[in-house]
Amino acid sequence: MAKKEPASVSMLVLALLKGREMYGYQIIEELDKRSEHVFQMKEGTLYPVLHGLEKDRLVTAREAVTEKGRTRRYYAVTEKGLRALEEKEKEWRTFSKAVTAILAGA
Amino acid sequence: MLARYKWAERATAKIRFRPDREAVARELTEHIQDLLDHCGETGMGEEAAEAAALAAMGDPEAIAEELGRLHRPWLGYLWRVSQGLLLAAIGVCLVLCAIRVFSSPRLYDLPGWEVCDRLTWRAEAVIGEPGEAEEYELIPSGLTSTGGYTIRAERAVLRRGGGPAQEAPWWTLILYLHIDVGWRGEELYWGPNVIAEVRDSAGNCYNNGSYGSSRCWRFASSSAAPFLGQKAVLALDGVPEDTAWVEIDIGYGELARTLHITLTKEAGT
Repeated sequence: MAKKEPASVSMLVLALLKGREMYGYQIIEELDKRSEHVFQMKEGTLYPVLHGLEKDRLVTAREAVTEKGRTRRYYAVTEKGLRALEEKEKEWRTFSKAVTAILAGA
Repeated sequence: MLARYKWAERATAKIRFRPDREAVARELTEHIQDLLDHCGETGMGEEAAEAAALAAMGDPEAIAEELGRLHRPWLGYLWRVSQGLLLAAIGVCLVLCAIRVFSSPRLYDLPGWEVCDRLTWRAEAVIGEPGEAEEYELIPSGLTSTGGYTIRAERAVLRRGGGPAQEAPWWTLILYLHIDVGWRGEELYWGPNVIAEVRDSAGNCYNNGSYGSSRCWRFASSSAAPFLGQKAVLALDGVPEDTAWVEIDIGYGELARTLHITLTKEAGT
């Protein structure tokens, strides 16, 4: 299981929420599925990331009760969150390009 | 089953504001329940499923540290204080409304005004029956302040009809005054000599109506309510129809002021 830096996890969470709003368990499942099991994290550690994003107003949260009476807290990305994601994606592409260049020349 | 709640309690132990702590604990236990449902689908026993779920959630102490840093209590307390202030403001508004409904000043019935319960006999003596003769509205303007009270003219009606002495044409000017009594609500006492003299633009002077003279003023006032003020009605009998202004000398000594009320006819009158 790979250990991820918090900044990367934030970027991945924002990217997932760009598509639709999700609750915590859904985010973990989607992360696992879309990365084909590469990104797996201790599930409880997602919540400090989500609450940090909410505090920074990069996401908003709302509670909803399901038909079965379960309370779910759904997270959705904000405009500010989308701009932050764009920045992080740019940084990642620059980083990734640099690593690829070094590895290619090695 | 208790293990998941204990895990959530440990993971939220560093969140000091209780409502936040409880909300986050609920969110974490819901997540654990989702994990249990998933483990249940794989045929795992209840105890084994719970152990697996809690292992998947991670170290509760490490999570508690992170959550404690994020959920500062002062924001929560500030929110509580603001809620308390909002409730207090609503309570004050309700009390003021109750005062307005049960003890507010009310005036004799002319269009737009209500009957004054406690002062009806005095208001009737001042104003007489409405609509008994020709009348029209004037637009008054003027205010003055004395002794902590601000008095201004709110409305003026000119009415032709009967009065203490019959002179043709006989006009009565009815001035509706508003007195701002501030938050204390202490009414301005319009006792003897508070209105010292009343004059109009034609140079006429008006005496206290109790003397029975042809040009006189008659007066009624209501009780006061905090912020809502006090109402008063001053009727001047025998005014010229084209009176442009009236002046009322109010108070005595250092508190003496003159309320100059300009009267403008409405268009078409």
